[in-house]
Amino acid sequence: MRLRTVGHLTAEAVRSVQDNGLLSVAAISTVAVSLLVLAVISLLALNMQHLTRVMDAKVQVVAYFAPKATAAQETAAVERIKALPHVTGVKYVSRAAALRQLAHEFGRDRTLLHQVETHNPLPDSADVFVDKTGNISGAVRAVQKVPSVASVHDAQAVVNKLTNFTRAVRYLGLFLVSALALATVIVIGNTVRVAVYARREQIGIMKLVGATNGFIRWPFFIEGAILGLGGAMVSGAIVWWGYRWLNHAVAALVPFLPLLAPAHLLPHLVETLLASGLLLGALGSAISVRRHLNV
Amino acid sequence: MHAAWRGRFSIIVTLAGVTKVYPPRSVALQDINLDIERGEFVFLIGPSGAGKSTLMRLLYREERATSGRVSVNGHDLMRMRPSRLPFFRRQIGVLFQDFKLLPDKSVAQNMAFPLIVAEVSPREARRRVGLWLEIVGLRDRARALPAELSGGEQQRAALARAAINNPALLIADEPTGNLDPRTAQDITELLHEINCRGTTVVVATHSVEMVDRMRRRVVEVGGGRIVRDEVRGSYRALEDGVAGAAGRGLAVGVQTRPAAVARVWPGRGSRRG
Repeated sequence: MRLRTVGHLTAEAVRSVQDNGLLSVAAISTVAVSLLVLAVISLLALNMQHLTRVMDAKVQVVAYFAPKATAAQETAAVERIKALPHVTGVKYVSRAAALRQLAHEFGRDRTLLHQVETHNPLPDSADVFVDKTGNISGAVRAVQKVPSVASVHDAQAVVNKLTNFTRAVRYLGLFLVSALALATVIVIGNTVRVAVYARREQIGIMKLVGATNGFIRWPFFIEGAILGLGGAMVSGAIVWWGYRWLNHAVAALVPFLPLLAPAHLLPHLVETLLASGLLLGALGSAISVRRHLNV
Repeated sequence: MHAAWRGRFSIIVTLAGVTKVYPPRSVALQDINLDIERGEFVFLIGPSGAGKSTLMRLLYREERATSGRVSVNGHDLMRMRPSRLPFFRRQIGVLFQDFKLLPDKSVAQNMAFPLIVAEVSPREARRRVGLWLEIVGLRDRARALPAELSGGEQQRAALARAAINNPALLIADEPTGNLDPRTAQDITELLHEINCRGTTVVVATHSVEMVDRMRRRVVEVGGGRIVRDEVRGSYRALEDGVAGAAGRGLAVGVQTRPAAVARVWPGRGSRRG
């Protein structure tokens, strides 16, 4: 097929999108909503994965000392913990240092911090690093038996919960996205079916003057792709501006919550959305053309 | 040997033992045998329901015969693969009573449509559309939509579209059925002119005037069979003498070339776009 023929067929498809008016708008909106859900679920899953990774890389086990423990007792406890099997390192954190760290994480929003600054409720603690994730529970049990240790916080439990939640979000997302993708294909297919019906006379004439099946079918494929791409552009724009806004808002309100940076994430996500829209549109029209276009 | 070769290649349409049955048992055509030579002008006549339109549809493979052999311009239409059909149809032109113009395209765009389909270069397409706008006298209406045209203008545009690809065979199904006598005569003259330039023309018609004026080959179909085939026939066999007299007088009309046609087609004898 020559380039000028492709140009002619594309022009025909664009005109059909315009002629279909409201139906085209409905199809583009459906694609936009479907892809928006896909984008939101992807962003949620990716950020939760990121959060899990960040937490995983941080302290694995925290040992909190009893409030009445003396400095000597705490030093001895740290030494005993260091000597435990699978423990690769221990970092003592005084209650004052813990408060400083908290102040750093709260950043500019110090209203909450102000209330605890007058009376520091944080205990002295020790961050315990373990060689393998699989050895954490054993280390936790051993640290709990060390004198002067009041309680042990196992960060891995939180990480595990987060991992499970991320997995659930992924499965739910997969189901939702599949259902919406199906709806998108059906709506685009329906739009193309109406276009086929509106142009049935033209199709008959095209056949009479010697148009090949490809020549007749291509405008419908292109029309589906345009509708899909149109919806993807709408959802892409919403995600682009929406996530940047959200990122700024989260950074201001919950500064210690690590969100993925828009600059790294959004270009890839928008590219994926555009490709998905194009594919869903072409797939919807291909199915419709196969079912309703008798050429 | 030479005569056999000539005979073989001078035939453009062959129907041999052709039968067409529509399910469940409606016989539209029965044992049709018909040869049409290149360059002939053939009228296909007969009452409504006789099988004319079915026969015409067999010629451009809109329908497939139930049995027999259908050959057009060297193509065996019974064995033709669907993928080859578009390329076959580019060698023929089809004209309908209801014009079948694309309603959202202008006259010029309608004429250019078969050229776009055949991927003719834009330059050549412009040249041919310009030529045919002149031939059918629609130069001033090039940008008009079909709905803005009279019936005669629409049929002239449709005729230009059918002939613009320089077809070997032009099939016209009731081309003057919706037109007044004067406009019908214009269309007849154009068909005659196209035929004079080498295109074989097959016209299915109920127009007594058209058939009797031109005095060309007449094939009459009745009850799904060919009941008459005359080289220089008239519409009614029994009234041949009367029609013949009228025809001789009217024949002058088609031999006089319209001024516009004479201007853009200065000579006859060779086929060109």
